[in-house]
Amino acid sequence: MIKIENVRKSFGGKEVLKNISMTVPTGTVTVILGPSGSGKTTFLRTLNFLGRADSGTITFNDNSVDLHNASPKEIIQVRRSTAMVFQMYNLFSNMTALGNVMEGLVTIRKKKKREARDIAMKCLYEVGMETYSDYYPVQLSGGQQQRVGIARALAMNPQIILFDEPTSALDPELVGEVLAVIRKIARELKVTMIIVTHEIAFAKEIADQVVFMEGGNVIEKGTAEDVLIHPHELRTQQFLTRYLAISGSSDSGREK
Amino acid sequence: MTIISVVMGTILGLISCIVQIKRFPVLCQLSRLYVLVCRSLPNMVLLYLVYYGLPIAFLALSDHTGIHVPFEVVPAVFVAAVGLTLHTGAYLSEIFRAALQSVPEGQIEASRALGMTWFQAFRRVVLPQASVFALPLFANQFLSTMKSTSICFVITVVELFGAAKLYCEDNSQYFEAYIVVACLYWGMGIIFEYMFSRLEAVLGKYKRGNV
Repeated sequence: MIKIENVRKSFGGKEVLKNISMTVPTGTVTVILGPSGSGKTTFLRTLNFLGRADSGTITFNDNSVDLHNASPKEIIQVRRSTAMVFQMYNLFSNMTALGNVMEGLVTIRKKKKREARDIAMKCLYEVGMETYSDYYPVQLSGGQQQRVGIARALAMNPQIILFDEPTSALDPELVGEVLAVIRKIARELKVTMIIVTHEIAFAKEIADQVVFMEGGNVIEKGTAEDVLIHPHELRTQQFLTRYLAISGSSDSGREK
Repeated sequence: MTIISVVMGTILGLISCIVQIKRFPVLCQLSRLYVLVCRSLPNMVLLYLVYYGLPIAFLALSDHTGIHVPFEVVPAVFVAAVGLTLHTGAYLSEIFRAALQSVPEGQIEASRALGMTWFQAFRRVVLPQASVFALPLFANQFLSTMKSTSICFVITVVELFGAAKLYCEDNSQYFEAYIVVACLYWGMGIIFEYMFSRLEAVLGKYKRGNV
């Protein structure tokens, strides 16, 4: 179980995260929804210290780390037990797909090349990219790059994978293949994850827990059914209504 | 002499630009000042300054501390190499800074998020990409430094150009001597240019893909 408590952060006097807490049970999927600028991505980035929180803790099982005052050693330790999938994929462009997935295993886990290659190929297979193992990122579509990004995260066998808007930069046609991969690893591999996304239909289908954020606050938190189908808070209702009015039909089409 | 200056200049330039990028206090300002001064001085002026300035600096040093540096026996070639290194290092520092900044921030974040240390990320992700960016500029600087060795004659170093000049004074065959010099520089230039373009093709493979 991963417990995140009392995360606060300000940018230039403006409080962008106001005391966010959540618990993510092992093997479950938590989806964070909310309008742009609500602090979702900022929150996610404080968890692996890509952004520094003003206060807060993250607890893996019984091991607590202060999100503000962590030592460099603790930071590395947290980063090595988490993995992140980025909005812009951020694959290493000087390495092939296989090289990207092997990189953490070789450089960080100090595994032998052969063993790393076997694990990496298995991960590429999970995301359906095994035939592209020798391609460089420039030769892959956005959806393919993102799937390699997911394989790169999987390979480290992290306690949790953080997805930062994994489909926001993709062509609508390519969103489906990436969501399918996320769905598959959630269901089959039971990977613990936090997903920041705008794909509400996807959230409804995959989330064990949905967190609705706005203005740096958690407005509402609960099962997908509670938050997305029977929301209690007026703000959540407004958001969902407006969202469905804009993109309801096209969104349900992606779920095939 | 070219190679020594470029190798030393590379080390100096790399240190100077990392210091600037990591924003180490004091060192960062020092390195900025160094780049600013050495880039705006003509090469020849810099050489003269080093040639006449070093002995003064060493004298002052031994006056104040009693440490005696035997600068009288330091050969002029050494001084020339120092001058060229200072000059080359300043230019390379700027080239490297541009190259390092050309690597997308997102990839650095991705490597840090995996749990790499700064140095691991630098070695595995930043350097391989930055070197492809820097190589053509580096080759330029290399050739330019090679040609600048011809002005080292002003501080009594007898290099290719100096030798030709001396030969001319003895034999008065000016045009012939300089034609030979030009051909030699040209030959060296072509060889190095070829080597650099081969290297660039190898390092830059990922930009085109291999399938």
